[in-house]
Amino acid sequence: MEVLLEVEKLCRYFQVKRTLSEMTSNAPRTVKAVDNISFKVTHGETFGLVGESGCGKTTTTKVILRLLKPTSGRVLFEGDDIHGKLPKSRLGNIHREIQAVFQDPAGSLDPRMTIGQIVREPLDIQKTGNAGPREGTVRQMLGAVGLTAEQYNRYPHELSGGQQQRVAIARALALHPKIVILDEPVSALDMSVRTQILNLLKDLQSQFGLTYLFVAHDLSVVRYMCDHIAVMYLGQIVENCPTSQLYENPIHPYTNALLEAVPVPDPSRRKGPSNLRGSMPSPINLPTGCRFHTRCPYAVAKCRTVEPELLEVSKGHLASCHLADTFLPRTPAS
Amino acid sequence: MSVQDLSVRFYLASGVVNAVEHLSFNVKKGVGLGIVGESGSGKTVTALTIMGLLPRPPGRIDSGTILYSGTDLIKLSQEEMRKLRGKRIAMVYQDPMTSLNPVLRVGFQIAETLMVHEKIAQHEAEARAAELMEAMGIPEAEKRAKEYPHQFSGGMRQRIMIAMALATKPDLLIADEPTTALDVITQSQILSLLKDLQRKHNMAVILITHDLGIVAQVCEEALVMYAGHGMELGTVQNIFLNPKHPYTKGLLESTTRADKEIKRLSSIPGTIPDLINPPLGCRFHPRCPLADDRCATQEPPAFPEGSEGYSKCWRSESS
Repeated sequence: MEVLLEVEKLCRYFQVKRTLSEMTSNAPRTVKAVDNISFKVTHGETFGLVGESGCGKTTTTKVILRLLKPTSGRVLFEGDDIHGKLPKSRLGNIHREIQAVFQDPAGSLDPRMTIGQIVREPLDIQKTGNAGPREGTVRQMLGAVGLTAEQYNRYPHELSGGQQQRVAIARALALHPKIVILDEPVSALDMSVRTQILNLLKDLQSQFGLTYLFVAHDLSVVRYMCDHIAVMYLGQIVENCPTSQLYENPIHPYTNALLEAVPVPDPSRRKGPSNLRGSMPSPINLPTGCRFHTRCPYAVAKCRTVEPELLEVSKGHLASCHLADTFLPRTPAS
Repeated sequence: MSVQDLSVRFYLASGVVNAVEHLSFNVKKGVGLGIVGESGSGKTVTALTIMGLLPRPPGRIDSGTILYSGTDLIKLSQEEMRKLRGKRIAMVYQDPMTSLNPVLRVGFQIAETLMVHEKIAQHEAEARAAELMEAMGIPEAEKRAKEYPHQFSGGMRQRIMIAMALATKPDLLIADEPTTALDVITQSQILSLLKDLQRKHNMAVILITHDLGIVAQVCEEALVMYAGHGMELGTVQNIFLNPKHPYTKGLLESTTRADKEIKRLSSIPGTIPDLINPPLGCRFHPRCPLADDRCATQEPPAFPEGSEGYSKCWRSESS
């Protein structure tokens, strides 16, 4: 299968403001928001990036959208380094072909523009076709996301949250992108509307042959949407595998803890409290060795000193854990 | 506590918002009731009304009683309600950061409740506050009681809020979306803490949430609300494994799950109704796959289902 987007050893650090005493005591000056992550998104799939708040998933999307420059590492789109030296025309293409939908639909739509203007704006900026065809594209897109013609002249505040998110999706699709970055696209929506939007995204994907990078914290939404999932913890990927593998044979203790903590709507399957200790360490003062060792119920001496690598533990299943072998499902004795 | 036929409306310039209509449910000692609903379903207004914190005006209680060990809370004066609130009935809110005072030490904030309601000296109250923090699973409680809210993580702040609510050993704890602002692992820890405390103190708990999973995991009974109405009430076993109301069924069928692989979920069509001009008849009928003419014109009463539950659906009439 053809790789559309590749993230290669990507790092993004931020400088932190320090007080005078912190400067004199030589406290660390950087937050390693994203620290050496690599993954590949193949054409036509939905790739999920999951993790708790502060794990670096949104920073990753910002680098992919060229809203942030990487500290080191590369983002390759169809083989081209999007932060490298590229002809202007190619860069324009890339901007057109990578689009995004964000969490808060109200915040990402200009309140003084009508729905029609909002969806049309990217077409105007990219100077796609003439006025007539542009108008047609806008109406076609609004129809594709399930909005009516009469909503064309409405303003965002006149629409419900679900409808606003439909507008944001129509805007993202207006330029016929190849990949759409979906950053928590349904977490601000109500339950009954959430599934409508998820199903709409699935339908649009097959209709337009789209590739999605789906960023979310909710493991139940990710299971429904994604073909491949990478789990992030403190700026790193701890596990990366096909969706069915992740839920049936999770390897990394952190993935396991996340899955155990998701409330399941079934009273006959009640779970106990999470077996993790403490809370997430500060990304400024990262733990030595494995970043998860401070909370891991299985940590051994090696975990405190040696940082594990993200290695293939079984076919197509990557995990970064020294004890990965012991968590592999036992092959039945033949 | 027994809530009967409660109706709360907001009288605004733009019209009358029917926030809660003819709502009835009971909360029993030692039992956790989950109130689940989408935004605008009336779950928070119900909680605020029980607490006597409904902003009046524009809010008004147009009908109903809230009986709490024999007294109707609606008829109590502000002064009488103040004595009850925080002592016998306590509440934990969604956002622990805005509910804590940033310039006061957390130990003092917990102690304050005790000083007001139990009239004990400050040093004694602060010692009790540290014990409470310890019981909520906050390590080095005595030292940390002297710290300020910003020095705590979200999960720890929520533990402090719970310590504050439980300081006076209330009979009823109302938790309004207590874990919405938290990450999933912290959420699981806070929910099991609440569950343990409910059992230990034989306390009634009303847990308000939009997450069906949370209700299934920690509550004994569930009330499903939609557009100000209690659509279905029952044990969690009945609500989740044998739902009667089409809205409950629709919600469960459209829920994404981490424990199952699902190819295609069915979704409830349409959007949440406007509460100023709610649909006539059953509030859910414009979105209901089973709706007929009667649903569009006549509001269904609460038909009994299970031992103490109900379903507000004409389909439950015959059963």
